[in-house]
Amino acid sequence: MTPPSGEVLQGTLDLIVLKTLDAMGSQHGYGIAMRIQQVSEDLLKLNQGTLYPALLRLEQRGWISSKWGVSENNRKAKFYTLTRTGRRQLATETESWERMAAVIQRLIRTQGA
Amino acid sequence: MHRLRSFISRCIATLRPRRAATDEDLSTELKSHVQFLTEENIRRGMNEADARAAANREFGGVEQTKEKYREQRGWSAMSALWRDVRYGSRLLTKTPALSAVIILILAVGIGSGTAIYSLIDACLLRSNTYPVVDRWDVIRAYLPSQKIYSNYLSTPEILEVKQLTDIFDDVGAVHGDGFTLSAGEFPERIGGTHVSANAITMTQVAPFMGRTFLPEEDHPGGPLVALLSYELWHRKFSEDRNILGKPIRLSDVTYTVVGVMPPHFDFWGGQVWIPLQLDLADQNRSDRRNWIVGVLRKDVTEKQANARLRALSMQLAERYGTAMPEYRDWSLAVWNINEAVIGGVRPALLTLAGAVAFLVLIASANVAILLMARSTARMREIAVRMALGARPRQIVRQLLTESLLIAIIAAIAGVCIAAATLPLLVHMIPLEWLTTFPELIRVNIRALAVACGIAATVGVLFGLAPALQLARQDFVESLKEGGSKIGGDRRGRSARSSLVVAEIAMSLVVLAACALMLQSYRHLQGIDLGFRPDHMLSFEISLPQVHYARRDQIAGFFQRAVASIQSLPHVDAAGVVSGQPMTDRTVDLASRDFSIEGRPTQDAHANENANFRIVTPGYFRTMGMRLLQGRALSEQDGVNAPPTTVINESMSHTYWPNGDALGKQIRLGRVYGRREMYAQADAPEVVLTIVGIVADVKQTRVIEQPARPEIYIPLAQQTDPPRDMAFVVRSSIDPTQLVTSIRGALATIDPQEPVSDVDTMDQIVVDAFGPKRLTLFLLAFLAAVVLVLSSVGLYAALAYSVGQRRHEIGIRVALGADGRDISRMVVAHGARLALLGVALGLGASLLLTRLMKDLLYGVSAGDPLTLAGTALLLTAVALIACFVPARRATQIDPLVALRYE
Repeated sequence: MTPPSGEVLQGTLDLIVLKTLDAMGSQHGYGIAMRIQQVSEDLLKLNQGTLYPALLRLEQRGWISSKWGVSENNRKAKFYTLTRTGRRQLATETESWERMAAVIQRLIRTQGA
Repeated sequence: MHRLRSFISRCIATLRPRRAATDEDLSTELKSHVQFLTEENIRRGMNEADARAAANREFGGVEQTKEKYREQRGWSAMSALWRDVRYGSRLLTKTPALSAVIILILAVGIGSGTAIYSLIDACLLRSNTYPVVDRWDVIRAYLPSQKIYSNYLSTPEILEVKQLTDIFDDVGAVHGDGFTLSAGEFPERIGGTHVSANAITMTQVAPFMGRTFLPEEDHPGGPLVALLSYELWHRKFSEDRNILGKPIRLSDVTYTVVGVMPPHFDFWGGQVWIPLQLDLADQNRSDRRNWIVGVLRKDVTEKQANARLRALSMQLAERYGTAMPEYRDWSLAVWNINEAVIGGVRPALLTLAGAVAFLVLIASANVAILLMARSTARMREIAVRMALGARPRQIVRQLLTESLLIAIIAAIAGVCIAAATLPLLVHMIPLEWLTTFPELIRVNIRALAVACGIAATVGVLFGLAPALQLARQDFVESLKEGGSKIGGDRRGRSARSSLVVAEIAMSLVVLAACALMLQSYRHLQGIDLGFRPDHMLSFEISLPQVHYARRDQIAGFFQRAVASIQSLPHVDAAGVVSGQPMTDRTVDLASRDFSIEGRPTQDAHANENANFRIVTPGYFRTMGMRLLQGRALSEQDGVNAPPTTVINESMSHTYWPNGDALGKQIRLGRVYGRREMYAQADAPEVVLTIVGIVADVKQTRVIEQPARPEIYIPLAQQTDPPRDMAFVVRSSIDPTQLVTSIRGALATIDPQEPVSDVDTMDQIVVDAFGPKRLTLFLLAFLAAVVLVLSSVGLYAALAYSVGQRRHEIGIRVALGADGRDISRMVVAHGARLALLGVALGLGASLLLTRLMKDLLYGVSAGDPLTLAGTALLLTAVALIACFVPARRATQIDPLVALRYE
């Protein structure tokens, strides 16, 4: 049952990506992956390939939009941006995540005591 | 300008297929991601190769990502299907020969099976007659004392059945007749039927033109009206649209045409229908001259109807039993018209349908073998695809598409084959053998659907086999070099072997059925008909009652006609008979009760009964019948001479087992059958002296049946001679050359009377064998297809197995096995399968051919010689099928075979 430590929990990748885009504005896939690793201080071992189906999923739901552009080192790359519904979704997901995390924390503590 | 260009590019972007663009986009996007990673790694000081490898590791599989991405993107159903179809057809064309063979076998199975079944359906099942045909019955009586069914019933009996409104929707009466139609240049003899006004409406078939009969036309003395068949209207009246209300002459009586029935309306075989005009006041119960037909109510079963009819029979026995002994033990029962028409051919029908089913199954088994072989060969490919991230679901879907692709192509080809074969078959079959109009024989949609369904099921099941097998086992195993090549695929091999064995077993059953039919047909052809059909012409004449009312007129005509024909050159002999043998209408038409003078009858109401035929003296000689005892009838047996008769061998054996029949006397009683043929309804009782005994003659087309007792009575001594008579003429030259001179001779006696049904006796006998030959022909066709299919199956299985065992064979050759050892090994493998199949097939044949024992004559269903011969033939063909793969196995070069792995 326990996922190997450091792997991204099922369902949390969406939240992570949304939050990253919220923080960084428009960003390409590589940038998102770097940012996630940077913020998690390499604790989160993201299989970078899995990012793309997730990005597509988010785009399909209308939470992010994509556009071809040129990266800082002059490479053709697809840039993703949070949409307005995406921003709203981020708020709800953050809230529900915090609630869930709190519940789990409480559960763990009670169990520990 | 600037704006215009951007607009155009937007348009192009919209028009460009979206999916292709996104796939390409994804590639670019992922590539650039990996490039970013690589550059980063290089910046950290790695060399380029390491940097790229590390980047790929970090990214975690570009292809898997693509596959997952695609899955997330969700192909639209259409584009996924299109992709699978494209991929499937690419695979099909990669192994064109194999794909073609699979499709061909499936198509031949579907096509020939459907064609034969359509023919059976049209000829034998006749599923396209009337809407009410399932509930349309003849009501007939069974007379246990004579062991015969009486189809003819009297007017009071008809009315009593008609009162059973709780079981019948409607009840009518009919009887068949012949008419001389005077239209066009020559008078012509046509079949017609007298029908009660409701009999045609009962069929729920609307007239093509005009109307059917009105109740007021169905009384004695009512208006003389007629309904024409479409075919008659077309042939004799050139489709005259204004024919309604016009007069036509039938047997010198004028009728008014009131309607034309639609094409292919087959009602009692007639071409014209006239009202029966039954006298409902007729109280004569022994004057039975009509058939009763009825339509069962929808909620009434045949069983219920028969129970009700039995009750009626018992009532009648109670009320009239003393005066009419036949009522005492008879019982009325319904007889479905379909049963009446096809009852006799049911065993043939079932045999053929069984053979068709086997054909389709064998074709399917073949396809299964080939598909399994092909799919097993693709296990590696599938394993590779799964390793690259394909989900099992996708693999299954793709294999499914591929199998369905095969099934669909085969189905289309099958439809073409069926459509092409059917007219060919119909063309190959002489018209007289068909019991239906050839234009009604069409490809049967239901049969086609069933055949395609079976084919598709087989295709899908066996096409999926490798995917299902992979789901069970670790695909890494399949990926290992040569892993599954040497010992593996055991399950597939045993499945293929069982299929081959089953195929051969099924083929043997079909071949055995065909061989048995062939044997029995040969026996039938060897049957002594009791007469010599060669050099004989026969034709019929019906004298109209208007001109021929008296006994001397009728007998006089026939005697003068015979005399004038006999005086023609090349005519050896001529005679006249009241019921010609072996025509399609010859059922044992008329029979008569009799008692033997001076011998007490065991049972007061169980009279003896024999068929009877009225003949002129020359009949026996003309037919070439053998006189066994006494003398034939002669000119001396005239009006004033003592009444005489000649009986057949069966009668002599049955009633005078000691062979002392000559000189004995019999007293003739009640007449059964088509009494309207005779001048008077009631024949007086006469005492006849037996003067001769002749050999039995096969009178009906069911020639395997023993002859019934038969009485021949001289025409000259008849008080009520029949007006419908058949002439037989024996000639020294080709009898067809006599037709003109005979017509001329008859015209000198009465130019008004048409000659009908002119045919050589040889042809009549050939036609009598028609249905049996048709069955044999179809069965032989099926057997041939089945034989080819099963040998192809065996060949395919062996050839595949040789291919699979290349490696092993290579090792054997390398270790010193020579070509003979190798080919022996392959042939032994094939022979094992073939012999096992033959053994199983023999068992199955013993079980199954018993079902066709009603079809067989002179050969038992389990005839050891026939079965052994069939088994031998099949084994021989199977061994030939082994030969090619065996040869190919010997040609395997060990170096190539071993390197190949």
